[in-house]
Amino acid sequence: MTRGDLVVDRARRAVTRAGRPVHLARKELGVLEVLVSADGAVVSAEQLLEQVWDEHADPFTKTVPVTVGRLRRKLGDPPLVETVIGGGYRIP
Amino acid sequence: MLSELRHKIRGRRSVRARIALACAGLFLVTGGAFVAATYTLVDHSLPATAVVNPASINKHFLQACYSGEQNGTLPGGQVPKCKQAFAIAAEFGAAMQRLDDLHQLLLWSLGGLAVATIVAGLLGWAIGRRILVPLHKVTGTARRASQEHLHERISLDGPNDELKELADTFDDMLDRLDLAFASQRRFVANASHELRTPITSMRTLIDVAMAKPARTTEGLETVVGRVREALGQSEAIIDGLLTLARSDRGLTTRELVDLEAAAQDGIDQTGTSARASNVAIEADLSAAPTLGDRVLVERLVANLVDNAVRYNVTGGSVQVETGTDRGQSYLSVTNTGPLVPEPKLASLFEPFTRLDQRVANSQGVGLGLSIVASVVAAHNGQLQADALPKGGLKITVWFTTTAPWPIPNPARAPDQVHQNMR
Repeated sequence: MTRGDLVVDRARRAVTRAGRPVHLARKELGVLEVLVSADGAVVSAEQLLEQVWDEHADPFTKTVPVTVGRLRRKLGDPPLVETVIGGGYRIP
Repeated sequence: MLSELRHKIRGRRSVRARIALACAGLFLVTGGAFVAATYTLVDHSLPATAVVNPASINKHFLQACYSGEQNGTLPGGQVPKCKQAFAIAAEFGAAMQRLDDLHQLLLWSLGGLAVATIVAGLLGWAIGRRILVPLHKVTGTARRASQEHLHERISLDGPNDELKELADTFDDMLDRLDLAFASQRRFVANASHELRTPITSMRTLIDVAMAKPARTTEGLETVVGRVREALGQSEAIIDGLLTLARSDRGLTTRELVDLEAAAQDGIDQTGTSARASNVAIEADLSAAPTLGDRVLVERLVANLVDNAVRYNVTGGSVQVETGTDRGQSYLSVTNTGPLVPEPKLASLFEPFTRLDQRVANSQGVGLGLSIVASVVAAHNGQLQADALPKGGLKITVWFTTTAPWPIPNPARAPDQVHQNMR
């Protein structure tokens, strides 16, 4: 899966941005995969929680925004993941 | 075999003979120099004599002079001639005496030197034996030392010299080998025991269930559930042993691994069991990139976090920290838990060892920390374990950090970046 200069190899769990490898934690990778598969569409925090986390996840924690924050930091500049206020996240 | 032995004996003798020859040779050289010096000195200190041509001495004339003087028949005209002949004869005698003295000196000196050289050689032969005795001891012990007789030591006593150092070094090496073999034997014994236990209990469960005259579905379901549990245990042990074998083999791949991401995964995976046992996990994570085997590093981190939660107290806590410090990426896991006595600390990293004896309790299989130690060793990292005074452990692993966290640079085309990385 590619999006711009981002390449996600699901089988090898390898992510590169502009050719540089990025090591993501499973949850971060899961969020990234969902966002890339959405093909630019907005994905809500609830959808992410449902698709990436298991049934034990507590829906009232800040775990999704925290994970997205870490993902943003690791992917570096220019910012890739956008926050849609009141809606969720997307990679345009 | 026989020729090998003969070769050994000859080799040993030749060292001894070389020592004897060296002793004799050195003595010969220094003794010879000494003799030469003495000879020259004596030659110079003796009064010099005139050179006399023996042909100038007429023995008959001298004899006639002598007998004529005794009988008083010497004719007066011959007196000065006779006196001159007497003087020449006296000078000739002195010169002969001097030569003879020097000759005697040389003869005795050389004779003494020869005897002393032989004695020196014999002494060297004897000393060689004494010097080689400790070496024989080392050789003998080395030859006898096999996997079964590693307890034997040279324990050489005597002065603190090079040979003692050799023997002590050899003893140290035997100590380490002994320990390594012992730990390997223990590992094999424990592994087979731990592998067999769940299988035995499965067989017993099934046998008991089948022996019951009236088998109910619920009863069988309970048995199936317990067999499944035992199977899970077996699987965990085999899985652990395979990981251990893989990391003991060393690294085959090196890729970017971030301890931070691995720690995040470890915390995510243990979150449920931590909540169940009311253990709070506090994380202070920042990027800690290194190069290594991602599967092994993730396993290491997961084991550390899992252990920290598992061997904890109710209401306890676990702190996970990652980051870089002085060119090293580190991960440290601290937990509250039972007090670990300092002497037991090292043994915790041995396979199938738990703090509460080597019992097959339902918690864990006892491979977690040995996998940690093995993975750290495979990555040339460092491992530090500290027992906390209030109970619990702080385990820190250090890996060589790789290039600073790669921040993508949009100005660079991807293919250029690839070239730069190579």
